[in-house]
Amino acid sequence: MYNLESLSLEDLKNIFEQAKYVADENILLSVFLSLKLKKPLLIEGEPGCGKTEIAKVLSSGLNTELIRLQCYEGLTASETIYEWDYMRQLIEIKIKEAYKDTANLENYIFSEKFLLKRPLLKAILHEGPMPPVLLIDEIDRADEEFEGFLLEFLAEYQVTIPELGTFKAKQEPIVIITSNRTRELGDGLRRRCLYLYIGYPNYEKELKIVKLKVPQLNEKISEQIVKIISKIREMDNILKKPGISETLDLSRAVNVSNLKELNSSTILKYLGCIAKNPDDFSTLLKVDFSSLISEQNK
Amino acid sequence: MNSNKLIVFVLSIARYLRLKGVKVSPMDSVDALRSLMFFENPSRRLIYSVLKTIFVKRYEDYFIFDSLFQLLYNQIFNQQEEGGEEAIIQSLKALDNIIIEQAMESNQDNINLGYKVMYSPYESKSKRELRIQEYKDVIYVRRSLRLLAKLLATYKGLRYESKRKGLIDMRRTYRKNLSYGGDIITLMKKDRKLNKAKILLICDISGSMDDHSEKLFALMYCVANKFHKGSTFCFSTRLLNVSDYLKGCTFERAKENLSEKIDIWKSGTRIGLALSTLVNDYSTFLDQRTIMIIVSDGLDLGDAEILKNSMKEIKRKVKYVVWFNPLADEKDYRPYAIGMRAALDYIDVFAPFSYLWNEKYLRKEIIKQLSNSKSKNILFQAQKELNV
Repeated sequence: MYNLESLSLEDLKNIFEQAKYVADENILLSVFLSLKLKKPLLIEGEPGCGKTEIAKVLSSGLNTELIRLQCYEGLTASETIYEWDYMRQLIEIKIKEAYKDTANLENYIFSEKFLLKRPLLKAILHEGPMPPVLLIDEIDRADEEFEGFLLEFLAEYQVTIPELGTFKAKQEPIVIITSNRTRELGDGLRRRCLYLYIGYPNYEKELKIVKLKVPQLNEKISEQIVKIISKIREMDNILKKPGISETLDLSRAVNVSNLKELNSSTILKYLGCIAKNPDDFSTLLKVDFSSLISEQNK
Repeated sequence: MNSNKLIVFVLSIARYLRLKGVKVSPMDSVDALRSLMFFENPSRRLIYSVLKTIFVKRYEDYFIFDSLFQLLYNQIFNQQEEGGEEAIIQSLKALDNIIIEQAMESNQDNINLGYKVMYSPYESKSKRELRIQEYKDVIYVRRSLRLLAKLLATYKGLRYESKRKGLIDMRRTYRKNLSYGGDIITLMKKDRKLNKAKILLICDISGSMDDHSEKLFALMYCVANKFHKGSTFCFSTRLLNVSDYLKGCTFERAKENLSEKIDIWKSGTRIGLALSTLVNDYSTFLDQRTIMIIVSDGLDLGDAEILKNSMKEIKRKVKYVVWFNPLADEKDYRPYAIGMRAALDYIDVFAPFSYLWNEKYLRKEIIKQLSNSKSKNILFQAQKELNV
């Protein structure tokens, strides 16, 4: 069990290693500083490169709760903090009336019993030895208004419910915010966070990830897959470049088929693991994978 | 490592980053120093990583940081050993000059290109260096586009408003009926607000539109970055989807991307062909939630039939077609160009391009053209004249 105050960079490295997450120095240091300075960490990068995974690794490594807030267009503050359970309140009123027990009814129906806690309130009310990991996923999907509300929340870590009063976090949650860069985030939010960009990994790192996540796969095939994926990423006419998750999908698919060597027909067979839209699919169908593989063999 | 020297280094790099346009607050400098205190004798690599994590807040700024770090580290730490405090001051002054020179170079405006703008149907592969321009343009055009999206809203968002028909609004019902002791007597209803629009922008970047390139860029950048469901295409002799070059990029990076990666600037005009490509290859972009905005002067001598058929198909699929024409800024303009003539029947709102930077006029024009007073608008008049 780790303690946040005495957590060292080496401890953090162990946490990531235990979770089989290949973290380079940049990732480790950013997470470390975020924990030490108690500042949210804003992670941007290409889809499927392990942004969300960092929060999961942290929560499992620090043995604490992971509270996830998935952002989407139209998400409002009330949906992320709390809502009153109106149905239960109405039923309760009827029951109380039937038993003629209406004394102090108002206070009763607006008590915590009828409060539906949403992720941000849950993160504030969390009790335990370790602060929870609050993952605000894909913030770029949410509206700018929500981003504005989040600024206030991240500054104070407190929430006011008119009927119950103000709740302040006993221990500030570990906040991880991810973004796929589909829209520009405001400067205010950026200023309050530490920043980490996770791009596509280099050959060595990606090979290490494949070996770690799909250990049963033949080493030669792993190398071939990683090289082919990096070649595809270099192509200008590919709209959605394959991320690490696509590499792993292809590796797992090839692993299932028990091949001893990779060939072009296998790649074409599992093209759905790499191409995620029809344009890319048709572009990749025209690629001469056999020459790419033979080039690598030389 | 001497801690005083480290403090000088951290504060200097923060200052130079600010000079380069990277937003570094004094609090960031404090955080950087606090972070470095977690390590005993931090190495150059560690200092680099720590400062990068604290000071850089967007991916594009990584490159500025990298070059500054290298320059400053060498200037301060290498000369410090030899000359002490005096050497630091000298090297910082030298660095000041370098940074100021670089800033002046990047602010120099391009020389007048000196050619005459004219129409051509042929493709000429050429790139366009977009001149430095103010971000203000994006702010103004954003206001107008928001207004346009609001006035022509095509689909319901996730927010609710009180309505006479719709779902039961438990919250309001409960509050309304509190006075009856909780007995439900009045039912309150709610429905989702009609407040969203999916914007599809098609910009003409052919030679005849070259004078408006800077404004077109601001418009494209705005649609790609300020609207969740905004898609941007540009065309001259071909149609290109440029959303990926603009989305998530800084203003400067987006400008570089469009200058370097688009090779059809100042080429000929084939509106019909471009729109038919849109209909055939990008049909997923066209639906009843879409407001399609076309910015073009309509100077096309291509096959009018193709243009007409494409416009017909587009009108069938999208909710509104809005056409902004830079030539319409002139008082006596009539849309008689072959491209405009073919498209006229399928346009819902036709307005001068400059209205995109004038919220007041745009509002007036949209309301006028969508209301019954059609006889007043330029589009209706032109249609009438053409029929005569």
